[in-house]
Amino acid sequence: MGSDNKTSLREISTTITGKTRGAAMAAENVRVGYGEKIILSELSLEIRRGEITALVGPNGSGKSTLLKGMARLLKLHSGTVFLEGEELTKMANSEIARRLAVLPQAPTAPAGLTVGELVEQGRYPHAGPMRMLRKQDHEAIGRALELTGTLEFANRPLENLSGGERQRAWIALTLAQATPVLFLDEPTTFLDIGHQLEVLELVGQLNREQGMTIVMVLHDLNQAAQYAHRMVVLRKGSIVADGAPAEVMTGEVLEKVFNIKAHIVTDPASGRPVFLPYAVVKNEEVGRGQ
Amino acid sequence: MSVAATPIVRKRIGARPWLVGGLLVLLLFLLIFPALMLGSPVLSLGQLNEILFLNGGEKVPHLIVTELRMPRLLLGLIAGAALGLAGVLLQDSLRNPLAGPELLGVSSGASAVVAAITVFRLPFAFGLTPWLALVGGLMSGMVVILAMRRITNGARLALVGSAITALLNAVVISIISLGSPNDVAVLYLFLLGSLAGRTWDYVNLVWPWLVVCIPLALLCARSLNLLQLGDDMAEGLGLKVLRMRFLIALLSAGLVASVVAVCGPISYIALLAPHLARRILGTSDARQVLPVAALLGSALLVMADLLARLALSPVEMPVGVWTTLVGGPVLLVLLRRQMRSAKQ
Repeated sequence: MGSDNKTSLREISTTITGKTRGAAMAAENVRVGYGEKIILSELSLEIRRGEITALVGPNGSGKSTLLKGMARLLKLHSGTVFLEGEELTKMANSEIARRLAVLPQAPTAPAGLTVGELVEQGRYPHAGPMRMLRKQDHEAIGRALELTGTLEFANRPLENLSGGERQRAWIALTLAQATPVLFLDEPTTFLDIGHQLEVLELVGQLNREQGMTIVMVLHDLNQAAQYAHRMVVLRKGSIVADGAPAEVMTGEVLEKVFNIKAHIVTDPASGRPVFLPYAVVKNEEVGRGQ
Repeated sequence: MSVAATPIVRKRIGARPWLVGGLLVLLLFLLIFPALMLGSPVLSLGQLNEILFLNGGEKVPHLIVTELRMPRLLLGLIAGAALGLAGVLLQDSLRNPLAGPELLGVSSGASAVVAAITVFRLPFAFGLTPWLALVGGLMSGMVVILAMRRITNGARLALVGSAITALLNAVVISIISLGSPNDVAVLYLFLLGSLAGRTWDYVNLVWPWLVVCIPLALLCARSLNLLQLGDDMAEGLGLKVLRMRFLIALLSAGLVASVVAVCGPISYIALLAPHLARRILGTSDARQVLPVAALLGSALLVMADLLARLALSPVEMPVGVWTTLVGGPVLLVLLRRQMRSAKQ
């Protein structure tokens, strides 16, 4: 089954060619915030196609703001976001939704909504003028349910599922959108550790098997290092480190960004870095260091 | 070819919505009989048949049926449907189970106009009053909707709506306090909401609006389903959230304004019909809830109006009193059940 599904999404992601040297998305000098309060200013970032990029940083560092700004969920004060080389502001919203799927931090579901009904909403940007579902829509819904392992409870209401199953159902909704790029805003929050890994494994699988470009905000640095190809570290609205986990996960970065001292070891199985914190750095020292 | 292997999950719409819809249509049909036959005088089926289909019968009962009971029944049907639809539109688009047309300030605006005309004895022909009330309702609705336009937070939207409505209600009260006892009595009846004495003129004012607005409301179903998932999710799925919510608020104002102008602010139908519809259908899918809430709104309002006419006959209690007296407790029961199931 799995091998059958590989083709469709990968085709989409390879047929579209961007102007910006293989970047799936790019933010250029974006200035974004909530209302008058600017969180990020003059920030630029390119998201490379086919990679998992993790946005990490302490609370209030602007990682979710960056994700939302790039996903047009927050209005940019200035700057430009490109999707496959095209300016987002010049695209119709439904056109964006056919190329970029976003799972926000706390989506709500009405009582009684079943997994199948939820996933069906993912076809909204593809549906015809009367918004009726056609054959390809049903196929995409079935594929999304299958990929996320939620097919067996397609008819169950969302509130009867475990946290991990529910999160997989939400991811299935974004997969039904059949986009080459997927944004996830803290997809593991409120989940226990088993379900966190379940979700991250799914993310890794979507990247490997479907060739999806994935950008996610993560809280847990070790998980980011484990699952992402690239970590972008934010602090106070600027990018302070950007690169492969092994380059980014250094004592220096951890001290500067999170005010902690930590040993960095390498996971023998994955070869990825893992940090073990052992002390907190006094705030003043760090503040002065800036 | 390999794609064929993927499972196709077809959603089973099932028989339930059709069954519910069919039963409600039957109920509405059956309600025609008591609505046209009961009252003073009570008519038999034979007499009704004579009046309706043979254009005969005695003169007075004939007039009562064709000029009083029929427009009243028709007004109840369309007003109830409009209120039910507006309730679904506002509750789903604002993600607030207590949202209703009151939030839009439409009823307050209409009430303020009627109060001003009555108390200040403004020189308008009596027949013009509902038209002016309609203008007042639409204008205050526009003010509220424009104030809400850029707000993204659902709770704040509701607060802005109720603040402006409270202000307009204060205007209504202060106008009333200037009026003579006689004016107050007249206004009192309007403010409670009633279908009594509404003739074909009133029906003619209401139906053109609803012919336009009801189909438009039904077309909002898919968008409402997205809005239920949260603004960010809906925007991410390709919906222009702020623009859509603005249009939905306008549509709700259009649905409700003419009804309020003619019948006064009838409470609870807009709140109750959507909750009952979701409960009966067992889903929040707006594609099913919208039509069923419209039918339920009609049925509830016509039944309440029957109560209004008959319960304390010959005294008539305004229908708005009944919708509140019955609607309030029913809503409480519904919400209690909802809370209990949410706790599990």
